[in-house]
Amino acid sequence: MPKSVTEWIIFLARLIIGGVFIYASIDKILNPDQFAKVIHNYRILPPGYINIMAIIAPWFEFTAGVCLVVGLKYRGASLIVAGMLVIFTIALISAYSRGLNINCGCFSTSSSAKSDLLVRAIEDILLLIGCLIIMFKTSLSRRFA
Amino acid sequence: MTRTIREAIILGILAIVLAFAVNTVSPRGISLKGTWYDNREKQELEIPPSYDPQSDSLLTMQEAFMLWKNGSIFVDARDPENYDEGHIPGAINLPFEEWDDYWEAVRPKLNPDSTIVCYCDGFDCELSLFAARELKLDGYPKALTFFGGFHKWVNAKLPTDNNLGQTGSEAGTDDK
Repeated sequence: MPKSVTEWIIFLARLIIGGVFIYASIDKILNPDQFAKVIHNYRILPPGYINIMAIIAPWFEFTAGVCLVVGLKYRGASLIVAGMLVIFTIALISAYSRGLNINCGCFSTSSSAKSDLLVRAIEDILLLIGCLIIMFKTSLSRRFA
Repeated sequence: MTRTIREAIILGILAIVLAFAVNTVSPRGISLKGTWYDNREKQELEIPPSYDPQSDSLLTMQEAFMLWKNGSIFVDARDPENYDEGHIPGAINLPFEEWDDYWEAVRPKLNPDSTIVCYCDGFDCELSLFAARELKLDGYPKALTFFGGFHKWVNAKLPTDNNLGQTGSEAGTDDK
């Protein structure tokens, strides 16, 4: 169990971010064809990369999410999650600035569910801060321990 | 930090292996390439000359493509010769200029509650618009017009079918 306040913060951040990422990956893993449509709707990727992205991205979310929750290689997992959050945020802001009225695809692959893209981008930035805390607080506390 | 990066690389490789393994064995797995068109350049909605905003519903290329992906019925309003030479896969031929000859055969394939996408050649061809209006009068309120038509579909390198004994598909029609 965590001993200090810092360890508790890292522990909770891992559980929350890991849980969110596992939850977010399930619908996409179960429905890769629907997730591919969501990716196509963003109008960012060339046609040849859409299915590959739809196959791989949810498993990055799932693997990193599980590692964060169980505490296995969680610094590497938080780096992966941080990288994904940066990409997601750029995609969301890009879609918002082009006036696209699309489903974010963050948690659901349903194309009828339209999302508030800016709110999703802000959520991503908050999660990103959590990841940075996990990565840097852990390495700092190790260095000065 | 080096350790963090090393861990991330290991997890990344694990995720990629899992992704392709599950996709291969899963019945819901998808092909690596898939059938998509390049939509990165925004395409303006083309407006037919006799467009009436009160009664006509126009579809963009993106909307028409997504409806096709989702299995909506497409009606090709061109004459049978054009249809036989090439059409959107799955489309039903209902030539607007020979409507009465074809209607009885086509009607059982249409559902009044479902979306029906009408198209013709694109450019100045308005048969798609006229067909959608006629379908609405006949009790199919969800008849829509894809005015970009077959011309735009082919330009987007999307699959086509023909009735000349071969598929004119460029991208394959195996997985929509």
